[in-house]
Amino acid sequence: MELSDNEMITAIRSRNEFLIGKIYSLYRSEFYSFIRKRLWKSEDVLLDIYQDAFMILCNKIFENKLNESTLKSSLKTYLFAVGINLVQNINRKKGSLNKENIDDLPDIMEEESGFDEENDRIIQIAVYSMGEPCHTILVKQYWEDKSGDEIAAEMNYKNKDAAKTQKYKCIKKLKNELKTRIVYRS
Amino acid sequence: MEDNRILEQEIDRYLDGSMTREEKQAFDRRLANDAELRKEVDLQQAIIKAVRKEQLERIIKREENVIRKRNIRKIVISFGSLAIAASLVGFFYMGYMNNCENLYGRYYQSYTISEIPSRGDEKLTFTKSDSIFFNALQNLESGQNKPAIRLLEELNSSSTEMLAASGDAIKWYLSLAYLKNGQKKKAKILLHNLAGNNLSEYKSKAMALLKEL
Repeated sequence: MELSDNEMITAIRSRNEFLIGKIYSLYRSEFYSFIRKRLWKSEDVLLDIYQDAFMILCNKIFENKLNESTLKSSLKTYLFAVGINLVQNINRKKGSLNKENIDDLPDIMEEESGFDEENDRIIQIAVYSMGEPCHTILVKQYWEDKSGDEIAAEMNYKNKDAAKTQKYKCIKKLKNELKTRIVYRS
Repeated sequence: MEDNRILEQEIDRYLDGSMTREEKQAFDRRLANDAELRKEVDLQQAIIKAVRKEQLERIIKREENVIRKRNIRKIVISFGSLAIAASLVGFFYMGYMNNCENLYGRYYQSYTISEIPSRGDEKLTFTKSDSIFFNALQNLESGQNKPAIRLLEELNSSSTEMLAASGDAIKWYLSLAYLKNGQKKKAKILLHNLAGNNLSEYKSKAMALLKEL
């Protein structure tokens, strides 16, 4: 697959599932040997680290924090730097600060999320187990980037306002459910 | 409810980056002073992330399955190729051996001597080399090719007197022994030797066999 970094960013941003899959595969084995040689030995954890790094990269692109003009290195270097940060976070938690010389990689700080890992897990499970039509509406809105008109047409709502009202109800229900379960940081 | 709906839409626009610069700056100011709004934004952002994560995980899972299947196919193909290669080698080897054995079977005849050799009135007794020759043929007939070859090679390279068999007979049976053992090249060298000797009793046989080889 011959895609430039900009083309890859566009593919991820536009949720081109085929190309996202190919980009995931493209760097997988190289990432493995890179991290295994320097920082990590366990194969199972390595897969988790790569998948987390790849999802962080995609999210940065989805949220437009990483785009054609903010990318200062190659996309591969960026992805590897995210992976190294993840490994160092794990090592830090384990108390082994075996810092590798990674001067040639950009320093990518994981942005402070409003929630800790446990809360993220609770939110993830709530989204996974959402019933219909809420799950489909949220996927169409936040993954497929469909407009109110498109959602209304595809899901047989009278008009875009009806679709938006349904989406609002779904989000409200989800938020109310989550507010009783998650703990905010002070 | 309408107010809440508008707020939620505002949060959506703030999070997907579709606000104008002025709108964003104004919203940032509100966020800095309104802890409840901050919580709403954080929660909505976390929900959006969770929706996207679910979809990314689906893609990754599908891709991992493809990778796994490809790796399994690679192993199967490698193993399969090896098996096929081994089978082909075996097949050609068996074919080669069948051909050699077949020729040996068609050309080999038990060695017989019509009468015990004599010198004048004196009946001669077989020499040690004669015994070796018969032993070699016995080995050959019973399928012990290597011992047969070893004995015949020994005779072929020595010049000891023999009553039972000529040097050409030794060459002929040694070439057949080579053939039976799959050593075509060695057999051919001896057969060419016999075929080139006009006086040899094995000339015609050697020529015929060479033609078939």
